[in-house]
Amino acid sequence: MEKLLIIKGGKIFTMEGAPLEGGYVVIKNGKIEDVTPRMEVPKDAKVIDAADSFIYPGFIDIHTHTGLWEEGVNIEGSDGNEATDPVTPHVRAIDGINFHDDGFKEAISSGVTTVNIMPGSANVIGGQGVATKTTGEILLNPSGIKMALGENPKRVYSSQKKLPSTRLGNAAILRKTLIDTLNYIEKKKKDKKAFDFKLEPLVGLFEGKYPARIHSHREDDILTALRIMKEFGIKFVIEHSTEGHFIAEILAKEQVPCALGPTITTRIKQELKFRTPETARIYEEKGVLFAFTTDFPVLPHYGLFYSAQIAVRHGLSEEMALKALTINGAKILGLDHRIGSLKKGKDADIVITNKEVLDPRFLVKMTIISGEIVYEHKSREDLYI
Amino acid sequence: MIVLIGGKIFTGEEFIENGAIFIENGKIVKVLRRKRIPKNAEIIDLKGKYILPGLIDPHTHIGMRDEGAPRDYSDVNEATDPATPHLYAIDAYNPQDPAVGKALKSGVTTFFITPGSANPIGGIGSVIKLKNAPISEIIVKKEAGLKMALGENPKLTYREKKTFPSTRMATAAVIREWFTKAKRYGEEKRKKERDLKLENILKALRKEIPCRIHCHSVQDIETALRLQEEFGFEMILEHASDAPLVAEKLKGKVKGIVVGPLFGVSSKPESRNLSFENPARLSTYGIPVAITSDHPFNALYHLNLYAAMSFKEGLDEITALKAITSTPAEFLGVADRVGYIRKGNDADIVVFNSHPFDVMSRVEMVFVDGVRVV
Amino acid sequence: MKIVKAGKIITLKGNEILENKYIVVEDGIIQDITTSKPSAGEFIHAEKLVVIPSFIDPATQIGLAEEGAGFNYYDSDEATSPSLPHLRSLDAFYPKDLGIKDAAKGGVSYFVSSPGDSAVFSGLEGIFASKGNTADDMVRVFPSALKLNMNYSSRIRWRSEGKYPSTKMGILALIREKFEKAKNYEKKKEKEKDLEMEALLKVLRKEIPIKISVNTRDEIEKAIELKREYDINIILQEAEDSFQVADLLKKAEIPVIAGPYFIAGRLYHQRNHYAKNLYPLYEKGVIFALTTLHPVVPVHLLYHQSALLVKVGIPELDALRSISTNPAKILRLEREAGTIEKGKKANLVFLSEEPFTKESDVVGHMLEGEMVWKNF
Repeated sequence: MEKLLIIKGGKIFTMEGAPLEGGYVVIKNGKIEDVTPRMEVPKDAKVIDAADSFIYPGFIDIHTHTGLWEEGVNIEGSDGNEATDPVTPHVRAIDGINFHDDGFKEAISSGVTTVNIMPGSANVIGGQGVATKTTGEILLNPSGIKMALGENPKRVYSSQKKLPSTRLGNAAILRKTLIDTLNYIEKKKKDKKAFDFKLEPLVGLFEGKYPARIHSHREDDILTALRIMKEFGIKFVIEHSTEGHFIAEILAKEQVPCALGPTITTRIKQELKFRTPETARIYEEKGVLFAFTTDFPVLPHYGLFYSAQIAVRHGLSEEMALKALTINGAKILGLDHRIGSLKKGKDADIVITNKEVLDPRFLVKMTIISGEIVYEHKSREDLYI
Repeated sequence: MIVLIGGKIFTGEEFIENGAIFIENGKIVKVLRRKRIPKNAEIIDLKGKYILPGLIDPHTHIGMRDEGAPRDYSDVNEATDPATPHLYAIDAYNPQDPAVGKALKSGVTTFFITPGSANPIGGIGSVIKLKNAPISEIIVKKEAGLKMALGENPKLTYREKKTFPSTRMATAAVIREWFTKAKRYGEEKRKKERDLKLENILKALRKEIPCRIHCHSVQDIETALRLQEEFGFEMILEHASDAPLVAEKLKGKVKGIVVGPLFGVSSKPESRNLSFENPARLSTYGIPVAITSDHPFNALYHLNLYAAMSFKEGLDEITALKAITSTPAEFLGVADRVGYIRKGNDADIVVFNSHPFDVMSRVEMVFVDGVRVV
Repeated sequence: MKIVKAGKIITLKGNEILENKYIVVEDGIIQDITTSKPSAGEFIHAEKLVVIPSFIDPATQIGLAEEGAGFNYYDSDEATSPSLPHLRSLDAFYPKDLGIKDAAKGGVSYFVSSPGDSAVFSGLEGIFASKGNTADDMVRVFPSALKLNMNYSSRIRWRSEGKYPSTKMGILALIREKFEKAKNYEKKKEKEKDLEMEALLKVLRKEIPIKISVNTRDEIEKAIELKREYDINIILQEAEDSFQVADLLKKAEIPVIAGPYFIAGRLYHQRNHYAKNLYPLYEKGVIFALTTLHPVVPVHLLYHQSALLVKVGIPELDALRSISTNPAKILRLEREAGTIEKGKKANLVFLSEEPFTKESDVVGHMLEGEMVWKNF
């Protein structure tokens, strides 16, 4: 009989309705067995006393490059952008990630339990992303196809004097590749031997197996993404969506989910000029599904919480702020049956903190992933701040 | 018939004291624990000496970059195309490399010659004897492994040229693309035309030859495991500096690990855990370990000293001796010919005047195919 | 005359907390802090707010690396020669940089705008206020220091071009060469005026300090040697390994400008770049100030960034000191700024709540007596 691990709360933010002021989270075999305000604790259970702490579902960041750009290493550890060809759908983030990198340790100590790691945005089609627990346990591979519009691809390739060097080129390459994929799908129907290693991963987009994840900041780039994805009938998520607040109604109407962030960085590119901390509030008002992201290593994983705190100060509701750190990301990844809230049957990914995560001083006391205690704060040394 | 008597004989598996080795027509015909000398035999008394199978180095580029040659006289890496499975290292072997003579004098009689690690798929390596004869006559096994590489070398080679692959993701993609193509090629009943590249990869997919995968860091070892799971090939990891950190995962999945070059300083982030302690650590997990010089990165002709250093840092004596004799023979699939002093094997034998792990020890005799060459 | 009626004032004079006082401001100076209500004046009602000294960011490229303009428009890095000590950030300062309004909204009264880090001697930097229409309106002290880059960024830049100096040895040799040249220049009776030499002489004469970007322990120790060798004043910037030599720094009275911390993606020489490594500096009494190095981190996040110090165990008042009193000391502004005291400039930040609490935000900013941001 597997022993139970029970967390005795403290305020429990289940993300399934109102928080519980005191209660129990019961863990068995790596899953949440129960979340209840009252229970008789079995004698042989291991109990974690979190009576004056706060309990949350493990936090989720749906857009990072954790382990793809290693901490403390230079080009030898830089594996996120295959900037030698603007179309590389056959390249996989999982083959470039160093799961032992300090970035994962920082994530765990910051309470981030699931990350969706994708290639960078140098390429119009960058490759396949992977959703993984920050312990390295793979959730979805591939989790989506990374794409990019806007300044990055055209800047990278114009310096190489290759297509694309304008937004015209970005879109043309994207459309051409999607048409080539459709042709390939037709060809395969007639010829069993037809095989194209490069285009094969894009077939999954047309089959609805996973979405396109499209990096775009400026409103026109977001609309270009929408236009092209509609043309081909492909499900997609907008990454960053910096000017999304200008077209929030369209995004809501078309049900385009957004990976919002990193929101607390400088406007170092022209396409970032209209970044504002109000975007989250406007998304909430207009009904756009969004999750905060750090784009690690642009921000450290703990930047998620500062992004949320600042959005709250600019009018975002606390309730939505917490959703955008947990269940919203789970929904966008299609993993809300496993993660994103404290609910019976879901994975036991749980974070215990000394203050609410919207408090700038909070520290993680303990991180539990798949029922295992993977981090316990004991001294300054184990912080990655 | 030549008979070597006396001394301490290491057979490739164990020590025999005061035994006798019978050599005829280039082969070992008998190994006895007692002396019983035939009348018409040439007897060589090796009392007090140490007798080993000719040493074997399973990973070298000897003859591909000659000692003392100009900087551009190097044929180790065909760094112009990331996937070159159709290349054969032996086509670049120059037996006049001064290192060859030195290697023989140090007791190395057999080695695996391989392409370098610039390419994710580098080409085919062969097992060769160090013998003064035409190249075609010294090949023990022409196709003994498919050299592959992960980590910093391939991606930095091609990043400099601004071509694919310039990241680890793309290095894996090169391998996956070619292995997938080869799999499909193998499934074709009637092949339209012969494809030399795909043929060689198919040999690895069919487990006719092992994949010899250059890697150092944990993440690259994990990538090798991931690729193996997808394609089912047999693999041996080269260098694998971080292997002790993931030894549990490797048990049962690798045929073995070739450790080295260990003398020297790590010049790259990925090899910072390079250590003479690695062979001992891996051994405790039951993972077979062979030791290499990776000539010319370390000199081939001090192979016994690399084994000695590993012994010093915790590897037990027998395993350390095996690491430069029978274990590489097993990795290379030539154990029926070399690596052991036993009936039926080639008479490749080296005689040291004291224990081969003694830094003062000297090689007094070397036999290759029953002929004394040193 | 303006009168701020403050519910709570954290003056940062020691651990002093004042409650329900009137801060009387005239001509941009705090004339008095009193319990008796003044009869006339423009009242600013901050009864429900907490008033603290406003912030100072001692290392940014605001005005040079304009936000929203894109990299091609940046004027921060004259990377055409390793020795350009005579360049002045004042001459390239764009007063309408979006970052300036953000600084004002974020409570940052003063910021240093500094040239970049490709050159070894990259130029003269100065202190600017976050209000005004032109660079000359906004500048407060120019120059405030000479910028020196003794770290990876500069040597790798010249190495990539195959030019001197491309190693640590080369950088130190260049620095010494230039200082000696400046000394020789000073001795000459008759000479043509040389702007480069004049800039270096300001440092040698101790008119201004030299602000040195360093990362590793050996670079820090070399910087300290330079201070001794030439008897100059130095400030260390970034200096991730400073915690390893905290005693040395305390003894030599060398301050450190540390940060920023809302970042990741550390390079090899930045392996120790963590806020937790400031704790030993705090323990040993080394003076350190936080920076955003804007545009590395947005300048208005200076206050939010200081919450990270609290997380690693540094007391809240000391965390606040690192963004006001300490930078004031380092920049030699302590007689006019850094604390709320009679006689100092009326540089105040109005917080909606106690510092570092969930609801706390900068809702107002008075800069030299003028409300440059008021959201209450």
